[in-house]
Amino acid sequence: MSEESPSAEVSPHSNAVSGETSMDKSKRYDRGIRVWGAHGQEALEAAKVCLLNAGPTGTEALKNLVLGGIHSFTIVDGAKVTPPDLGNNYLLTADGLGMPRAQCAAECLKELNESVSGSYVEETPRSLMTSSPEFFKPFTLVIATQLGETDAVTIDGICRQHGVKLVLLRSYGLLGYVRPSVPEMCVTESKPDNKVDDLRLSNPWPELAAHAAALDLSATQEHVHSHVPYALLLLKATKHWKEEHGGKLPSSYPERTAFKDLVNSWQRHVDGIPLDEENFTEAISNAHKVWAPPSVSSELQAVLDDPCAASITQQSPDFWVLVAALRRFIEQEGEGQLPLEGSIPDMHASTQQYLDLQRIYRAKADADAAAVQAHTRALLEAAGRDPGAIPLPDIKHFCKHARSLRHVELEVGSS
Amino acid sequence: MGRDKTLSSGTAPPDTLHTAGSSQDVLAWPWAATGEELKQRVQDVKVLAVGAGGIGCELLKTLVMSGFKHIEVVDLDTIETSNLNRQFLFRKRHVGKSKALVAAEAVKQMRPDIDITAYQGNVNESRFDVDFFRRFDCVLNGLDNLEARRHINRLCLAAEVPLVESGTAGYLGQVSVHIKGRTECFECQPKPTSKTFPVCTLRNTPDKPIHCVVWAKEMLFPLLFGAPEASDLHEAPPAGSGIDAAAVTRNIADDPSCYQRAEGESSTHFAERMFRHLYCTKINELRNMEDLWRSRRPPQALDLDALRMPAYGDGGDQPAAIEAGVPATASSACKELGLSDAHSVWNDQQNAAVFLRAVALFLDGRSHELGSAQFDKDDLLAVELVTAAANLRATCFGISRQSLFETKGMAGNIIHAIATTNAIVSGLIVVEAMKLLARSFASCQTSFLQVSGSKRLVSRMSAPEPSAACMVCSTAQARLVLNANKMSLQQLVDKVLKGRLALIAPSLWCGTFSYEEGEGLEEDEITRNRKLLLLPLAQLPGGGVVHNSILHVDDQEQCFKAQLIITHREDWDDEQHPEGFYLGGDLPPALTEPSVEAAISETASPNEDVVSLTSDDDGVAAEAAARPVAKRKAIEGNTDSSKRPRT
Repeated sequence: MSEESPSAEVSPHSNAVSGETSMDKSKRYDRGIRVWGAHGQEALEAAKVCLLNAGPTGTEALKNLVLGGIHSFTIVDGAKVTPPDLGNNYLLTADGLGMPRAQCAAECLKELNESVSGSYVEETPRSLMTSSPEFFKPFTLVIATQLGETDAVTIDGICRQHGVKLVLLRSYGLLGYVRPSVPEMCVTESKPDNKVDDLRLSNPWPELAAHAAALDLSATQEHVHSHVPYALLLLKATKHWKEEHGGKLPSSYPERTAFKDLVNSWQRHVDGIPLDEENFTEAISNAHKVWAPPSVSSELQAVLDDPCAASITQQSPDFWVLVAALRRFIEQEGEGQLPLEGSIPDMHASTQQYLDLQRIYRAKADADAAAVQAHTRALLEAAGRDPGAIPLPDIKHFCKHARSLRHVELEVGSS
Repeated sequence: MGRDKTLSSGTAPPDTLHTAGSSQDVLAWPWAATGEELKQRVQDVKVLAVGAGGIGCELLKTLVMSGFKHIEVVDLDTIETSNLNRQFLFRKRHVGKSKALVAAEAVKQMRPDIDITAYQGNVNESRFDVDFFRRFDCVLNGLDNLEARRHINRLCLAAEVPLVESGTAGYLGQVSVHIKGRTECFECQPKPTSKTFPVCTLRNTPDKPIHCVVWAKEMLFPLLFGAPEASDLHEAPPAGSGIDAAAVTRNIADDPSCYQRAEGESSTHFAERMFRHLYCTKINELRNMEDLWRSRRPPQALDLDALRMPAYGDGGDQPAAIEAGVPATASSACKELGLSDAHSVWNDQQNAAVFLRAVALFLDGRSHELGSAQFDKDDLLAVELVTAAANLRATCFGISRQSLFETKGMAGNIIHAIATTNAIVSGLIVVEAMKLLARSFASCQTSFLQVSGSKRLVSRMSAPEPSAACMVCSTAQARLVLNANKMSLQQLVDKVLKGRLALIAPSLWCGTFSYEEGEGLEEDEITRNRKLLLLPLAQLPGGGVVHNSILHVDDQEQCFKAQLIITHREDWDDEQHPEGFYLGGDLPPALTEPSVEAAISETASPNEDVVSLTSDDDGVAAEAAARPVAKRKAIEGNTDSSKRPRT
């Protein structure tokens, strides 16, 4: 902070004074983490935010970010606190009349969260943009409020040049607008509404196929029979069907009905009455997973085909390096498939059978991630970077979310 | 009212001002918003803010910045660390203090000329009666639970004060306006009730993680540390709960005294004894009930000796970290065991270690709480214990285990909550309050805040008309289906009248029989009540409450009256209605249906999916306020059985 010489520039890199232990932090941010997840919170805690103009709209926005736990903020505002400010900005009090508005707002906002560091520059945004456009380079996000058209265009140009995200906002009475201005967003965790199960029922890898083949349904005891996970039942039924139908999957409605009948026919009977085993009921209601496995969505295909992933250079962001590695995996080891996600849905099963199955899926997911890692290392090395620059946990995380990768390109602002 | 604090600037006597808004002209909305006339009314009126939590903090700020000068605020709760990510009027140094008092002081600092009164109290208290509510021009709700919402709704109807109701969950939010006779009341639409689980599923045949979590939190925790009578782990199921009190459940009923620490027993020994009892003895007892496992996988007992973490050695030696002098008052078993990642899922060994350590820490460090401890989602040690205990049980039953973070969310019914949503919703509340003051009732709207990319951030519809089928704001009757031979008067009062209808001090009569609760009863009346409460409904005096009886219920404090038509049913499906009753708003159709339909077609927004929900704020469970729109998504998450109405 530079309260003594308010017009001096303050580095947004000033170290946060960490007054809270990690346990306090997880308590404080618990409700937010339940909205945006642990990685979302990490991103928030790394964010350095610059606010242009400390009016009511801007400080309200910054207040919510400070509460959420950003790394630091810097307020740029050239005005002094006047009586009308007290009427609409709850951060400012009569004690601050005549003082720099940026300073008063920064001090109040810092009080909201002691692990966020704050600073200010007493200068109008226009003057700062003109005199030192480099000032904005270190920020993650700039929130520009109540700017006229010309200044908005100027800050947009500066932010795009430095790869800083920008949100423009303005309010007037009951009206207002919020306008994000970023060239693109690369999203690993897009949090899709529906989770899909990738079970590879129609094209099992050798270990999974062997595991299914090793089970002889007719030889099992009644209790085991009714606790075979449905995935194994479907794997066996699919193999059986393909052998009898020239390697083809059931494709028409009558064929699919016949496939379900096949599964059903394997149920145990007592005095000619089927036992209605729960695992078989599950198998039949999940039979569509055999002929309609999850596919590569058009959004994901667009990411894979993006030119950014086609040529990896030293400057390529990690996201695109990983997309390029993912492409190689799909073309080579994956034989057209994405890396296996590795988790399996809940199934009616004995603990042991379920855990065995889970282990096989996990092992395959680990092997796939290792293959993606090998491609990543090769790509990084070819681009002249440290081959270990992207650690394995990051690669695993990327592979786990590979199916829902998103690349969002926003409209280019007026300039 | 000793704890209340009036922060009045002492300028104007507020009681002479508050009626100023009621006799004035209708102002045209939205033009009135910037006019002098409305500005004056805003300064003159008196409003009540119920709740000073997530929504409450934002609301108070917006109210004072909008020029409101006479404000009262009620909240029972005290400030907790997990509030600080959004309840911006509070600082770390305020943790443990009254939300209402701290919030009032904070906004008083923003605008020293306002007149604000704070009450630390439960809105159910009798001091907040109809006369209390009559003093306001408008009531603004920022509540976190259904019971309090219903209570406020009834008082506002009785006092004829308009109500603006609100709720948030994560990025979703909702604001609605309730004016007696003009718009529907909060209870015109049925509300999803909290999810309950059949007791026998929890006790004997869990098959989902939530079953294990609820078992650990509501059955085991009170048994170990709280009031054992609060747990029904060891009791036979109550008659009429719909559970067939067959041998199955009686067999496993056991003696609560075995959950008590023996004279001179070390805490570590007690923890190990509990472990063996819960996860070996009890599991094997269950396993021996072969009827249960005909179509299910029987549970597997755990062997404590095989699950000891290396540091524990054998024979119950304490881990090195503990010997090294970590004080017994330490607040966290995980901390001692080095399990710092709340998002990781512990293995069986780790769960066993956390269980043993957490039980011992509780006994050694918090002995003063024993016998009365209650589970609290912000109590780290309690959450650790529940996580480990639920996971161990999950392992026995072949159910997947959960991380501490997930378990905490399930056990605490935690609703996502962030400042941004609360700020937007508070803004909408104040806009609706302004419309009420402009007396522009026709422009009052229900607003939904939603997130889906293709939709508007806020979608709105005109406030729907009252429903003639409503038991609360109309005089409709409801159908109550139950087993009159099994359900006792006590269960009727607790589960139906207090639990479902949210009555505070119910009285009822049926034919010549009557029953009354509340203060001021004579000694002989109390004795009589005590006997009556145990009787099944069919055996009550005056012919009993039986099939087709009309039961009149009433709560004078809420000015609530309703008639329940009893349908007796002998067979009861425990899975479908674990509560043991069903309450339906079945009515003579000719009387009500057409007007309801008309209201829908005129007012519902045509094509939008309307997300409906309610409640931040404390991040505790929400119940969805259903709207008369066919396409609707309700946010539900309430598995909490504690029915403490709070502000």
